[in-house]
Amino acid sequence: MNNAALWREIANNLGCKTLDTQTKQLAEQAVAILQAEATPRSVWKIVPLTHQPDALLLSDVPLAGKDIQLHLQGCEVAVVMAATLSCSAERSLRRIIAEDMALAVVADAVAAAMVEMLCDETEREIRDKAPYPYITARFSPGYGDLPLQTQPLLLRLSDATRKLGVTVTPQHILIPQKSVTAILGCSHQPVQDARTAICGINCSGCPHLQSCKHSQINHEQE
Amino acid sequence: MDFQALMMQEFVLLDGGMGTMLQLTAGEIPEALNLTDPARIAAIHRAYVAAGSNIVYANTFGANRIKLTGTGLDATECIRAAIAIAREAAGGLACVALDMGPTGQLLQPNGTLSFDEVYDCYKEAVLAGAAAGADLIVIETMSDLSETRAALLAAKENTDLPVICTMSFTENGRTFTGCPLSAMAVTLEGLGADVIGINCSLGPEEMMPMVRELAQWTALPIAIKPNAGLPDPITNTYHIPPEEFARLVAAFADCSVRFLGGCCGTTPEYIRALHTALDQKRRARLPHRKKSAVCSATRTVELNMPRVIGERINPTGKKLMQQALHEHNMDYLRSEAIAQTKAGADLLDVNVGTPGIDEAVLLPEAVCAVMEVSDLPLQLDSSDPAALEAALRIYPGKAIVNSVCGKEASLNAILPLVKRYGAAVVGLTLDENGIPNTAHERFRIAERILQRALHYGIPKEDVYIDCLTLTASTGENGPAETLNALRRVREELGLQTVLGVSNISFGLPNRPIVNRCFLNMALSAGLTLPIINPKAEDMMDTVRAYRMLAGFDANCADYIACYRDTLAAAPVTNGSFTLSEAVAHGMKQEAAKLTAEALESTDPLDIINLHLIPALDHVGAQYEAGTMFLPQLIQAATAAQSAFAVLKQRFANGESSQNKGTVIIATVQGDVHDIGKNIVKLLLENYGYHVIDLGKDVPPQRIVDEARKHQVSLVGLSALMTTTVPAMAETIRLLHEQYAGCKTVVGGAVLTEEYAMSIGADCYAKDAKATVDFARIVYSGKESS
Repeated sequence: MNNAALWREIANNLGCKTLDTQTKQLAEQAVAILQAEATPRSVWKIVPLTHQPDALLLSDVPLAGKDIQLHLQGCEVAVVMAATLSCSAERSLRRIIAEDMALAVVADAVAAAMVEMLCDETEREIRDKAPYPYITARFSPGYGDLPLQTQPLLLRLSDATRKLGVTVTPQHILIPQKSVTAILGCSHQPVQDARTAICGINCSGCPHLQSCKHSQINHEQE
Repeated sequence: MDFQALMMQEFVLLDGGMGTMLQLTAGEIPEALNLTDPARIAAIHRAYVAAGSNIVYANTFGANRIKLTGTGLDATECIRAAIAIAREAAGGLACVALDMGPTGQLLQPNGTLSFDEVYDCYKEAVLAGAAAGADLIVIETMSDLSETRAALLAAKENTDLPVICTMSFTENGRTFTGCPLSAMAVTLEGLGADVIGINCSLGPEEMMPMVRELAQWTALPIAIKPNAGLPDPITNTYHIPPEEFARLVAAFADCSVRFLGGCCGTTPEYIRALHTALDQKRRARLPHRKKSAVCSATRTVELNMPRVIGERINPTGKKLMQQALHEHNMDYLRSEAIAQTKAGADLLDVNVGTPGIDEAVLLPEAVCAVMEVSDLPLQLDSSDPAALEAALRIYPGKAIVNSVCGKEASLNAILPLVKRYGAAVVGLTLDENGIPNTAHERFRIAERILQRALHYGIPKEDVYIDCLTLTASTGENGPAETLNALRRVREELGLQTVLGVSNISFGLPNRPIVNRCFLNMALSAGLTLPIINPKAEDMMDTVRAYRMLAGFDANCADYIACYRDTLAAAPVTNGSFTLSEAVAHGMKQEAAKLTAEALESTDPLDIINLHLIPALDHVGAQYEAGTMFLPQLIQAATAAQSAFAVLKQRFANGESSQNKGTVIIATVQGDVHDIGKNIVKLLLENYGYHVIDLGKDVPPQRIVDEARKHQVSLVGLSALMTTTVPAMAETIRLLHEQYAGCKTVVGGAVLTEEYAMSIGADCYAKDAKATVDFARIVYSGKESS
């Protein structure tokens, strides 16, 4: 696991630029617990994509929202991925909440960072193995106007319930909670990628500006 | 063809993948095809029967009410059609199984479903399947032991059909929810499954070591259905071809596997090849020695050496715990569970018996709370059969029932429960005539309890005998009689032995010495399950040293692992902090220590008002100014909490406590995020409010009912998702309707001030501190203690 990236993500999640000594110690404790007890897993699969004049079909099912259409513009197929720290991590977090709230707050941020790292790792694997030279960034339900209601479809397409044990509640919350689903577009032509814009290239044109935790930091650095 | 006839065969050939054969598009629901395209399903069954399958699984894997929600399909109708299709296609040449897969939702505490909801869902399915003429029931691809139990109980309690039960394991030998092979085996065997095994998730090679392990844990026939290797994410195909699959799967005969088939990626070709490969094979008959073991959903404890049962979750003589139980506040239990688990307990006793409490309601609640924070198997401790049954029903594993005794009424009430739920039981050596004085008479009662248990079908490995510790001060022969009886039960009956140890020293000075010595004597006499306080270090030291000396600790590994670091010095704290500083800097131990010191000369309320509250205010102001961040704020709050814990002890000892008002908080229905709510709780408690935490996923009506019951003036609601905010709106609407005048404060990631106002909340709290500020306004003028 990329340590520098993990620690950057942890600090980000805690809303701090850097961690003070005591918080750092708690975070180290949480990292140790979660690395020992979590069982991170991910799965991905290539699925067909159909562009229609007024709709975008992911394996024959229309996707809601304009942003995902923008994101997958020009893509020939899509990759559906899911990643989770598993129930074992949830158990650790539940125990820590009952045990020590200070550690729990930090552990929650650590777990979120670990899922993010797991997603990055899975994305690298996808970029490495999928037979397409151009692949967009990840786009998840809840980004922009892609509704949370998309979760069941992504679980079904990635077979994540069977392969990872990830489930979704009637309120479209993933359980285990520290889980992520995402769509990536694949193409033989360079892709225009709405999500990469977040990372500082063109915030003003980005549909996720409001919800993006990175954009604030970028602005602070400016 | 009937199932009993199949059981006489050397091997029983199952079928292969259904989904693989259907090649569905994303929008298609397999169960709908039973109604819309029966010919497509029938053709698949026929192909499997022609390939040699003795049992075909009807197309009902997802035909349950929970999974079909929102599809417009009726589970019963799908099942009726599916069984009819399979029966006709099988043509009497193969048995037809009602196939039941997971609901797709997780049970509490992982998810939101209750045991009863899941049970009812499977009950509907088994009734439909039995009525339609299924020959047997298959429960497969399960991950959650709780859900598996619900399905198996539904099958066993509502039909006479045989049940094959298989779960999906990952390469680490656990399911996705963490259930190990051993826990599956001891739990499902106890509940009366006819065949158990493994399906899906892995290919035959990865499954082999697991099946070997499983065979160590069960005497039941084993079933396997591996995948055709691993899937390729690009082509969506599996990598092992039919002949190789057949060769690998046929090798399972050497592990005495009797039921064989295939899961994802397998087709009739695979089954035909397997049929051929098994033709010349004979199944190995392996000797099986039944183990004594109990388990939780995620941990099995084999009773192959002395195991410690933690005794601390018991309200007797604990005022704070009694009070907490009356309020359904499980925090106290949780922290006892964590502390005992950390101290090295192997099992935890759970007792909630205290006057004025309905144990049948509270025991299952307590069991759930303990299981949230500890994976140790539990001993359910109650004299109320209704409470025991309520807890046994939901307990996801194999529990110990504490206890039955030699009285007729007790034997008749308790043993059938133990059998029905596949538990183990503690038998107390007393009867209608009380506790016998002599070892011989106690041994006789132990024999009688064992006989009766066997009569009910409870194996002797699951009968544990407690020869009862009497207080040493009441007679000098008492301890010897107990130990003699214990030795005979262990040696002559070969049973596990239980003993509550510390009762020995009741009424004597320097009890720890007596307890420790008696524990030593009892272990030497054959005590296998001491019930002790694991937080008493000398007692745990004794058990660990005994295990090592008695040859239970290979290479002294556990002993060394535990005591290697004892020479390391305790962390030194710099004693130059004031209490306020300790709190502000988030120093927990220091804050508790300084509070205890301050209590010697200062009034508790002064400590709160002059030191703790100002420190918290100071930290809060820094947080608001952006010079301090959430982690530091919470560290300060937990330091204050440790100070308050010291004060609370003083208040429990009779001094008046300060309560600025009661606040109810909850995460709304459908939402499972509770960390934000717990932060709010911590801060409110810091500021002297009594918080009733209803937990997460709380129905609106329950929140209203509790608010009315406790006559609170403020309810705090948390919702993290756009999809659960409507439940918040509904809760506020109901509160206004049924309990007007109660204020509401709401918070959560997706909320805005504007939205909060639009759903009628009185306050939008952007963070926990804002909730405290609002509580101060609501309860101002009422601040008196």
